[in-house]
Amino acid sequence: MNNNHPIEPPYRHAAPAETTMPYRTTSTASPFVAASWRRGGSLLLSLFLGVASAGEAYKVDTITFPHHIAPEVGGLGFTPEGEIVVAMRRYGILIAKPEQDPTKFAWRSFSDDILHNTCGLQVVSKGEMIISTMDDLVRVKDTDGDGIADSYQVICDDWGITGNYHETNMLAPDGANAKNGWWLAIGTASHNGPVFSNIRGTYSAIGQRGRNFSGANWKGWVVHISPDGKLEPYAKGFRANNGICVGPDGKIWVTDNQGDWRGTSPLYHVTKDGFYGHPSSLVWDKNFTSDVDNDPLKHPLAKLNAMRTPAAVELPQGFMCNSPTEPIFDTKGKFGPFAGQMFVGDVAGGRILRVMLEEVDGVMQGACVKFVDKDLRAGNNRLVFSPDGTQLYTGQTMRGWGTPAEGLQRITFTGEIPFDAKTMSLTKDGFVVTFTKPVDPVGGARPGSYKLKRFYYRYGPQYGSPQMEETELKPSAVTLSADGLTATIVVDGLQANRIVQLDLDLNAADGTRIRQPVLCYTVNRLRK
Amino acid sequence: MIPFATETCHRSRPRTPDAGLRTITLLALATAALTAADTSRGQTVFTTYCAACHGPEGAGLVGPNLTDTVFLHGDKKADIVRVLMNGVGDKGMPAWGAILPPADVDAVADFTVAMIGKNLKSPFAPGESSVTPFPKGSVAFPLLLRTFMPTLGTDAAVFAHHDHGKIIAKYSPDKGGDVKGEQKPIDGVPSAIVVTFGDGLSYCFDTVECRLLYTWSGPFMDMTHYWGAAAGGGRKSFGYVPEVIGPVWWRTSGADPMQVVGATAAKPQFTGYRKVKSVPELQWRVGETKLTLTITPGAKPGEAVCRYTTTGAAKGLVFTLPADSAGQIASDKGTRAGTTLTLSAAEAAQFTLTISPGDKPVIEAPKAKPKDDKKAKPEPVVKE
Repeated sequence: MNNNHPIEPPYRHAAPAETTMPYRTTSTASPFVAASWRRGGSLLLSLFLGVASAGEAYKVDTITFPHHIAPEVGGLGFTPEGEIVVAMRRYGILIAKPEQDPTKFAWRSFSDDILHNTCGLQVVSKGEMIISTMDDLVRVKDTDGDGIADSYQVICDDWGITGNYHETNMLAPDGANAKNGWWLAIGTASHNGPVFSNIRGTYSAIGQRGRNFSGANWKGWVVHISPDGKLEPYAKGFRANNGICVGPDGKIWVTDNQGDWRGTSPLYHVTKDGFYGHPSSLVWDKNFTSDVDNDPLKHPLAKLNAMRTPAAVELPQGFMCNSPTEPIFDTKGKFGPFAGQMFVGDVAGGRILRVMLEEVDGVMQGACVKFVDKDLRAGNNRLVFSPDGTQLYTGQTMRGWGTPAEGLQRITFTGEIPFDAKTMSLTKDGFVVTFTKPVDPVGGARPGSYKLKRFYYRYGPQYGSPQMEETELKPSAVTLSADGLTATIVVDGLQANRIVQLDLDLNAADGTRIRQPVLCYTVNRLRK
Repeated sequence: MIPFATETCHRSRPRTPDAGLRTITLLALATAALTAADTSRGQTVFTTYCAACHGPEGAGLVGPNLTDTVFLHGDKKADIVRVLMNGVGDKGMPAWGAILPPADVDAVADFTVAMIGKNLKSPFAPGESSVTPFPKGSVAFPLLLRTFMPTLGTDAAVFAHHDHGKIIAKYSPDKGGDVKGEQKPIDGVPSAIVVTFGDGLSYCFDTVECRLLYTWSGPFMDMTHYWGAAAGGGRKSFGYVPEVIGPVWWRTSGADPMQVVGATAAKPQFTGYRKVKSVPELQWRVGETKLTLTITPGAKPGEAVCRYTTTGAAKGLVFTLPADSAGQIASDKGTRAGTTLTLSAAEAAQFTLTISPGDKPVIEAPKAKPKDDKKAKPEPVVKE
């Protein structure tokens, strides 16, 4: 036996990317492209060239993998040397130096072991990765310097596994280089799957009740894991919290998915001991089960509602986002005019969102808008910025949730400024919206160019919610700044605990049409 | 848009040449401009609200292809309007009736009807791939896979360190509560390591009990239930339990066989593994004692050579071999008395148990033979 990995074996090991017939992407050999060419669509022409345009400001590339790899991306990262690391849900860990040509990534295998549904990745170095899987948090190391991992040491596995397919998680380092350990967002199970006769951890029959359930310890929680592997429960009330990050200011952000107890998909600002609305996880809160109610699903709805911390930003179902995933901040300011803002993937739609946050009356809230919604596959599960901050990679997978959509795509800022709303901020009597380019002074000063309505999503055990109490809000005045970059909207009828949808009917002064016209601002608190 | 004009536009959109000839009327000509406007509105609504899931041309992304002729909920306009209004909750289709005004629902329904039969191919449709749900390993490159696994009838006493799922009332998501009937746990272990050396030997190790569960030979496993067919994608069964394909030659039974002399019984804790020349060395701890296990293929198909090391077993080990398979197990060290194997501290530091295949398999073939995964019919996708 030896550990010299072959270049192109028939299975498992990575080989240089196939260029004549790339896996799940378009190519010159694709019969689809030939048919598309006859139809003459510009989008399809772009795909033919292997580079699809999402507008002048951003382009989308589809990165190819060797045929024998199922590119179901569970984790993304970069080594200090600038190589991209992709941890697959059912393959292993691949590394490549990014190339300008998306079909020319020369992938090599760091690990061939198929860990149990890889869910998160932190890259320590080119020879050391931290991986979260359904089973455990594990340190994967290359101890002999041959470029191939040979040590898989469990850091922590102190959470239950029932055997249900839905109990995934996501990882975020706590502190620079995870010096304080890690945050782990652990999802609940689904009634569409079973529990096993044999369960790791502690089982709860009460916890198993419901549509999405917490049949074993710490399902539906955010937990902290110290560098020496000690697990400490931190916050509860989550459903499918398939996204967690720590912002530049240290705040913890968690996304969750629309479903039972989720009228729409939320983005939460998470703090210690917070309860975020999905009750099943309360079976593992001893204070709740001993002092309040031993069966969370039977606890009165009004009391659960009073206990919960609402979303900082609601991501409206359908037209905005269906299944949000990893949140990530643009910390370098090289990805266009949105420095400091958050981007969020959508696993159930071909899109990535942008989120504009602000603190009002001590509470985080803000607006969301689609960022890129063309040329992307669905399944946008994990995101990572390139080291120089000019490119956003999106790793895709859908297995377990929907129609296959898997692989790796890359969004590049071209240097062209898009015409978009840059920020949306609540005022005492309306909103201030800033723009990336000067707005056409005629249309921009017309109140009719700004359509607003408010609504909310119902909290309760039902799956999702319609938009409740839709109410049109008419701007009484709009003032466009002299430079055309700021619109101040005065509007009556603002209420706390409502979402305000703003539809923009605007052109830039240079004639460019607004790229993403629909913004939704979650008003948790009114500005005093 | 006035209702009359909308209705007229629907009638004027031909689905067949004959129908088109019948509808070329003065009325249709007079409403041609409105038709164009309606289509434009429908396209705008589709692009804004539908394209993210169904693709810019309706050829499908995460949502179904709307340009073919397969419509689960009906392809008539009334069917489409109903789906638009009410949504399909389990599939992630929102109830647009709560979001869009009726005129927009009507317009986008028309737009959708018009695309039926175009049979466009999704821009991200899978190409040919060598990915299969039949992973392989070899003696030179053994494959390690962590996954759910079946117990294959392993004695319940083996799972002493697991908790156990119970029978609970059946839950109806539609009613939001329990209904008549019950839901039973299914057979499985949630945290297994399986390793294959190719046709000669594969094994299943449980990381909760920290013991070898069973060994088999032949073509390893069918992961379709967990991974889907060759094209990947949707769930394939209620459970995600893979299927063992080849004959099972040995299966453990009884309580934890390994006792550290003089130590209080403790729950084992799996600590990881390392690869030595590609072969996994499994590692765990019982109290203060550290143990490793390296399994390699023996001379015969299904034969497992299990090399153990221990650190901290100062007074040695006692193995109580499974009563129903003790005859298959030989040790290179220690003293054997019936099913009891006693090892001194020095012997326990490193010893090898060889598990031979019996005269006939414990299970002939849990799964008879691999099916052609590329022809496997995908099952309906469940979005949760």
